[in-house]
Amino acid sequence: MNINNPHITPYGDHSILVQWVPVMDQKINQKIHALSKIIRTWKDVEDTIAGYCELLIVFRDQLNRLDLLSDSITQILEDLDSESNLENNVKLIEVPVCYNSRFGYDLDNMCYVKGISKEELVDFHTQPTYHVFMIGFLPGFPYLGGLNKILYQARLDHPRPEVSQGSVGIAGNQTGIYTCKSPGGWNIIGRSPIRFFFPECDPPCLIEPGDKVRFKAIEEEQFFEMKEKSDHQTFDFQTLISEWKS
Amino acid sequence: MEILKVVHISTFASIQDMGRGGYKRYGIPSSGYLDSVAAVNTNITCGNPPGTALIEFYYQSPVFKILHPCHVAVGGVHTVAIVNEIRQKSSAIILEKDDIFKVHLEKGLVGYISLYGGIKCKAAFNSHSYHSQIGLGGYRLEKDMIIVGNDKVGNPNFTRSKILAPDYSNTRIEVNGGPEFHLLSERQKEILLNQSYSIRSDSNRMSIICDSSHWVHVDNSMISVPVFPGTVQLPPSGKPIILLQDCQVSGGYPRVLVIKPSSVPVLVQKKPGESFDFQFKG
Repeated sequence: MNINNPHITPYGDHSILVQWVPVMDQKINQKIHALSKIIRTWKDVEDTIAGYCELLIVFRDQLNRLDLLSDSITQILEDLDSESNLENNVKLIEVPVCYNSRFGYDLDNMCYVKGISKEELVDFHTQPTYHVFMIGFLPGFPYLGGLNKILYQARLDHPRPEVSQGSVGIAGNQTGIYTCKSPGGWNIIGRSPIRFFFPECDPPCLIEPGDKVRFKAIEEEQFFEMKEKSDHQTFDFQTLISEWKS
Repeated sequence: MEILKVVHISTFASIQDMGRGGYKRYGIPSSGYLDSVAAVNTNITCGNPPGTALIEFYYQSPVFKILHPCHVAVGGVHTVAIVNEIRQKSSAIILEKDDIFKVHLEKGLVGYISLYGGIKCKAAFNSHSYHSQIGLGGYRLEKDMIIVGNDKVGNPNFTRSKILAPDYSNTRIEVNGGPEFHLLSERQKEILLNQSYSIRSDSNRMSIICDSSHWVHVDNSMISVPVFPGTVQLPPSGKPIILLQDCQVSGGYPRVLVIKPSSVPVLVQKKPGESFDFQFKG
């Protein structure tokens, strides 16, 4: 499939689905987010939801003329090619994480299964720069791709009834952050002290689709200092954000 | 103004309006009326604008004590307002201080109570709808809670005409094929579309879980994809899950069918144990 000729199909009466091959591909995903930004400016579009390799476009009214729509989408994708860099204006967010068995319920088990030390696990998890493929599951929950293969780990057989807000987990080849308290089946290896979801703000999420994320290991003492500030809204989130340069 | 006090409550009830659109890309579900036809008509009966925030309840209505005289309307498939143990003929009623008020669902699962002038509560992302898991927007009703109304003067406006209600007794739910419908074999499609389903009691505002005599098992190794209310997913158990207003914005199960919007009110009003089947519309 040509990257500029995705499969376009109606999904219900009000939406269309733009589909690429079902793989985790950063280049395709960047294009999806760029396309999504443009399409959201269309008057008749209520919302867009980007997946790894799909873009759902929700219209305000019932759909007609799917053929015209397909043509404009292909045109936008081709125009995006001629633009210099899809990664312009992408944020890099450095997320502080306290990796220990108190917060990381599955940290010891992960180390045991992988035959590595806690320090090695932390190194493997903090080295990559992750790509935010999509936001979903919970408000603001980032699905991050780019995990070191050594850390690939299947979801828990029995999801936990409650995973704390800020928990950092691994599921298969993805890593992510529980932005709200929730039931969940990811392997939890640590916890971040900061807030990621702000219902009173627009945009409401610190991390947005298409952004880049790096994790930084912190000690428990720093965790509580930062958490105190984050809870009392005196934490300066701008200190975590920089412009991404590839 | 403090209007109603919850004196008894046994099942889930919350504040809902048309829901929130435009924030799904941040992982924020839409929420909103489960049966939008009944909810809008209840508002119209009350003299409110169609999208006013109202009380939505399941199975059994909360019981209220009236703190301040007010004008309310009740609605659903077939509902009766009960004031001081007396069944009321009209679904739009005037309540006096100290009245005890509740609603009886003669038919259907979901009922609505609209308060003239609307309910005062916090909004999140342009909507008062309460999300049952995340806790965004409005609120969930609890015992001893006081419902505050917007101060509203003047008389209700009854000039709007109601939306035509669907045939709630219909057991055929209209569907289109979903994005992964083509993954099913002809035999699997036949089973999915020709058997009848019953609604399980662990269904809620996020989803309806179905029981049936035959399961359809499909390859479930999918990466997360976008979904929206009305989508029918097929998890490894083979029991279809029908997503409702509070569903997440993404899921990892094949999206085999999509319920036609006109059939959603009919489906959500079916009680656990009741059956239905799918009518395929292409």
